[in-house]
Amino acid sequence: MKKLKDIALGIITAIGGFIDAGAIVSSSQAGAQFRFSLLWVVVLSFFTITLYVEMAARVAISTRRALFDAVRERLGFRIALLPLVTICLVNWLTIAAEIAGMAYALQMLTGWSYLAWAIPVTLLLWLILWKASFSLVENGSSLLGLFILVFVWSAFALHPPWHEIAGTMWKPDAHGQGFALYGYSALALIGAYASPYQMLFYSSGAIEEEWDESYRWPNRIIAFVGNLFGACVAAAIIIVGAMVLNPHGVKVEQFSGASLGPNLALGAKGLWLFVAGLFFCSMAAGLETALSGSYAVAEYFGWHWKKDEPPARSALFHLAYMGFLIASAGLVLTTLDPIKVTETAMVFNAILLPFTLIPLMLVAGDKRYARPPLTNGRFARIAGWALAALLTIAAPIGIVLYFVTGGGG
Amino acid sequence: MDTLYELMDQGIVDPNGERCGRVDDLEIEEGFDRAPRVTAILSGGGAKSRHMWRQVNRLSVWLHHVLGWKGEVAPARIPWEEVEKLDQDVHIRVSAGAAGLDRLNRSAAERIVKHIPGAGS
Repeated sequence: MKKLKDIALGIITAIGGFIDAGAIVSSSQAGAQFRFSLLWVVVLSFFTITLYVEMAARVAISTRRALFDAVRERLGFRIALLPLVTICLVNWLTIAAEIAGMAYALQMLTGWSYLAWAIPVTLLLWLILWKASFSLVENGSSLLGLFILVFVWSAFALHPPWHEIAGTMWKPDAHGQGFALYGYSALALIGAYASPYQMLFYSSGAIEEEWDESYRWPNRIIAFVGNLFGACVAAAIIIVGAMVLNPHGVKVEQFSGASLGPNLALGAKGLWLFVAGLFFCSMAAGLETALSGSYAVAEYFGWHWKKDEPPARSALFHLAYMGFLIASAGLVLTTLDPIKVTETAMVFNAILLPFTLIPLMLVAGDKRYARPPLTNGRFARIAGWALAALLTIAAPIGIVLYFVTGGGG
Repeated sequence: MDTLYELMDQGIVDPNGERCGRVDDLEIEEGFDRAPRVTAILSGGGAKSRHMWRQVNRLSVWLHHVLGWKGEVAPARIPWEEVEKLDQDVHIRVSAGAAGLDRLNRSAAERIVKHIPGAGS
């Protein structure tokens, strides 16, 4: 019974991991600019994130160590420092994007500038991390994030042209906007759906909740079904963007641009459900990203950490997420365009993804760490290295595209 | 030497089962007519940074002081006799507190975290 509850809650959390502020913006933009021709990225990202989060938790079950604990042991202090620094960098950007998402939702609700909301929402994130239990952080906010299902409702209300979608979703088509922007948008989507923080959070969560070998199959079910639902929501956002924004030539230059789809499809209730969905999805992702950054740093240095103990027992762990929150709020308060910050965060998530994937593959394939039968099997080994190689090749191209397109134009 | 290599970066676990640090450095006694012998494990307190660039070490020392570390920043030293067993981790016979392994954590708790309401003791 406990496992069934864990599976149900885990699936909801996985949906929350797939959809955050960055995913909402990038998917709406992708639909607006390229109609259905970037839907294949959702499928690719689904396979990528499912494969690696399942692997990260499997390593945790086998070694009783969270991801960065094993990475530091396997790669040593100096080499493991590289993935740590990259994780900290992308988490900083991603938390800033989530703070911007929450603040913008409140701007849409109240009319007050998102800048006025940046500090209150950061304090809210801190308060939840400080006071709430791990399971509340993990499940509570993701449950509230289900408001974002408004996009699925909107998509069905718009009666999508399924035949056209099936025919065009696999064909790269820049729709006259240039393949540089098309490639850049594809990369932003991968970063939005498959962020390193998801693997870190899921793996450390397996340690927090003391998963043992009996969780081998629940882990697979949660990773597969949760991300499948998440991918369906992501596809719905692109479809709504393609059907509502594209015909009017609307570009998503503000978070409110992404709200036009639900608003036009469902009326006022669509708009308010969007606002709630944006706020809670960003909140869930902000909490998970801040915690995952803390986990990575604490695991790397070997500090004591346990979310459900009084903060004074794991002082350095708690100070680490406070540091991330302060730095990210500072970035939002610089008045940099929040959509630019969000898109940049997503692209850097994708560019720096190999720095998490390659150490994970090394640990999961090493029988001294992930003991059989929990070590990588043939499928995980081949698919894992193939995807890691693909993303490693895409990373330098992504850097070039970032400059060529001026960060998405 | 393989054993020494394997020991580096391993997690340290105290008798309460608490993960409380990493093997950051080793003290080794070299003999004329015998193989090198580990005499102690060093952990935290700039054990790594003191072998890195001077600026990195200075930054590390500064951060220790900011986090409430009083006095000279130096690693915790666990004599080899206090090592109970080696498996995937290094299990020690003394508690983390007695070994000085959680000194930075305790310093940060005293200086900063305990002043925030709800931090516990």
